[in-house]
Amino acid sequence: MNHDAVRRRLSAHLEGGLSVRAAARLEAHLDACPACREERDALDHTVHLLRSLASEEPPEDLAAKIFARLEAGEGRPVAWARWSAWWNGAWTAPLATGMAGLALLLLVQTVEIEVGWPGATPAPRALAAAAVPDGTASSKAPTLVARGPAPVAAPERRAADFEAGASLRTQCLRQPGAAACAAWHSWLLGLAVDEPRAFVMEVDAVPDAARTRWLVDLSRFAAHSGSAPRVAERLRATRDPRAQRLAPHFEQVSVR
Amino acid sequence: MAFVTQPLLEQPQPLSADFERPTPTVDPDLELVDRWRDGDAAAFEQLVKRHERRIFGLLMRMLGNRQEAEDAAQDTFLNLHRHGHRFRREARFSTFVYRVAVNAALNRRRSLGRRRSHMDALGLEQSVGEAIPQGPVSPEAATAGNEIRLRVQREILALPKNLRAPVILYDLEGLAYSEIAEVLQVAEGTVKSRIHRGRRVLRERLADLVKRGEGMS
Repeated sequence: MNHDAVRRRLSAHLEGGLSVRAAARLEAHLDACPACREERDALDHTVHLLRSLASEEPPEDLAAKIFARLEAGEGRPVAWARWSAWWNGAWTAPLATGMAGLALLLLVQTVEIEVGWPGATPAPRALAAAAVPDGTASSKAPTLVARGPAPVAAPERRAADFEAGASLRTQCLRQPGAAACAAWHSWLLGLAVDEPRAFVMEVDAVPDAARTRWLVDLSRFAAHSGSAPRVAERLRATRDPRAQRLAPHFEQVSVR
Repeated sequence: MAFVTQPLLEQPQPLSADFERPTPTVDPDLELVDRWRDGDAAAFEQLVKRHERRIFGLLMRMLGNRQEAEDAAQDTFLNLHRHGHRFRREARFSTFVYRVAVNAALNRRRSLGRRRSHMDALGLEQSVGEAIPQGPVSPEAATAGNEIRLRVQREILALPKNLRAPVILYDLEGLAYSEIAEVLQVAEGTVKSRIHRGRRVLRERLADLVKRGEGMS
């Protein structure tokens, strides 16, 4: 074993990371080579210098600052962040509502077209558009949920889709059973089929206190629309444990 | 808020006795992670409190400045909350947290750019100057100990970034090779090689301190 080979292995040797045979050969070289012994001792001391540096204590209020930022709305899951950033940005709420209403009216045509597409999952924009801005839902909303296989390419969702979904969610949670719920549930079920992980994050955005009861409503809606098995299947197909825990809601529900 | 004063030039002990590296057992965080994913905010708070000390310590090593380390620690836990769904249980949760923290540190250093060198100097001296000895230490010894710590910290910060994180994670944080590979998303062999190269660089740059230490042993 030459000097270079010994010095390349010194670090591993100090950690006891060499095989018995390799360690024995290296030790034999060290016994006969003062320069390599000196190198070993120097490396040994360097590592001890590093390891003798004690850790520094964090500020006492570090955790409190983190929790305060979380309460202020930072650190929300990505889907929430995407549309809430838009919502809280330059647009004022009334202007945003007006724009959303205009977009929804324009997309009614899309709804009609996509309903006629056999086996297709309707675009979420169209699903969200099933509710008109004044809160009255289109009678077609529940029937818009996917009944066949998802299209090969899932429709692209934009910030505006999530913004529209959030608006419907606010209305629905404020008044369970409101017409907006049908459109929101339709959109959510389409999302579950196309992007189950984004669906999970939307579920996370529902306040804890309301989530359990609301999930019952959503799963019944899915059963009525016939999409529950497909939603359950898509959730099961992910490896996300949260999706796995949501799946039974759609597997065990029956139309009542 | 203090570096714990320890004799830096004492007789070295065998390396194998220094650290108890984590062994692959049941992940103690999983129960809290499950509760957090079920919507239990208190579980996330417990996870923060459980990991904040180690994460802050790691970030101090990587950034060398107390204020930046605190900011990066906040970023780490906010990012963890935001991207927690990406934790796949293929590694320990603590490894996942380390990974988020290392990314936060690298992003912070990148964004600070050239301001760093000046801030490093100010922040590091401030931290070391605020050290509170754990026992009676003579003024001369305290000064010498602080100087040594300052030198070692500076040389760690001066390491190339691809060597710095592996050395910190292995020699200062006590992670296993496999965990560091997971944190840095590189092969285990690469981790070993970088640790060895990093140590050799430090050995050369700290040669005078090493000689003093050898003289005392």
